[in-house]
Amino acid sequence: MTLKEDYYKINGQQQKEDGKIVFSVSVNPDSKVFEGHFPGHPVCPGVCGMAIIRGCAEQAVGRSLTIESVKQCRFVTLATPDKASQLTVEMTMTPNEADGSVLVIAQTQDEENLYITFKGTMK
Amino acid sequence: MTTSNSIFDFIPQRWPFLMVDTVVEADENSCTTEFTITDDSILIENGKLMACGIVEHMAQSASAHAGYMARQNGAETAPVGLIGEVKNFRLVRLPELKETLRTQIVLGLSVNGVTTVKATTCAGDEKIAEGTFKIVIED
Repeated sequence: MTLKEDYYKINGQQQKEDGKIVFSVSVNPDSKVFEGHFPGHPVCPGVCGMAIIRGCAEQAVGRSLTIESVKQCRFVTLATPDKASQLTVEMTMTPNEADGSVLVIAQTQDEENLYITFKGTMK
Repeated sequence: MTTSNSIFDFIPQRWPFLMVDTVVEADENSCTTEFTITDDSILIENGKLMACGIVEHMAQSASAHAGYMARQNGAETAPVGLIGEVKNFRLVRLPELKETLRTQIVLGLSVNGVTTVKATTCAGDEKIAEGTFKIVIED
């Protein structure tokens, strides 16, 4: 089973007037990720948060994307599946016509915490 | 002092989220790890390790270094290492199933339990990716 099938689900996508796209995402607390990260002590892996951002970007452009570079990705708050299972991802996407890549600037949060800020390119 | 070389003694991650097989060599300021990509890892997609999987492998390599040094200094359990920041990560290509990644970790500044490390990952002689991390080691 892939991460996309097992770890998270994108429940909604909204285009805002300022150009931002806002996604609502739920994390599966029964994902097998938590069997290994960490046994008896589930913590949402930072890289799975990056994978969610990529998944949202893929849904927005309607094709698969690979993270080609990360200029900066900060993990601001430790996320656990019991507390951070309903997330909002806010994103701006800027296509680079020259090389076909997309610059993605995103942040993941819920009502209480900011979890991840991401700036990188995908193609 | 007896030293073990089992990765289970150096990092707390386990299947299906274990992304380092061995610490090949280590000294105080650097280490080299290996990881062979198998299809039971959860960060596989279309027969390749996802970019996120490479990032995780790099971070676990840095964490394994911290765990290796902690064990050398008498710690009985592997410390938990978490990623604080990824910077200037650059992917050359996604590695495929059965390829063996070899990652070199070089330590930079360490302040208040946050260590900056530079990671370079190769498959054979070919560079696959590089990046800089801030790793938080929990006591």
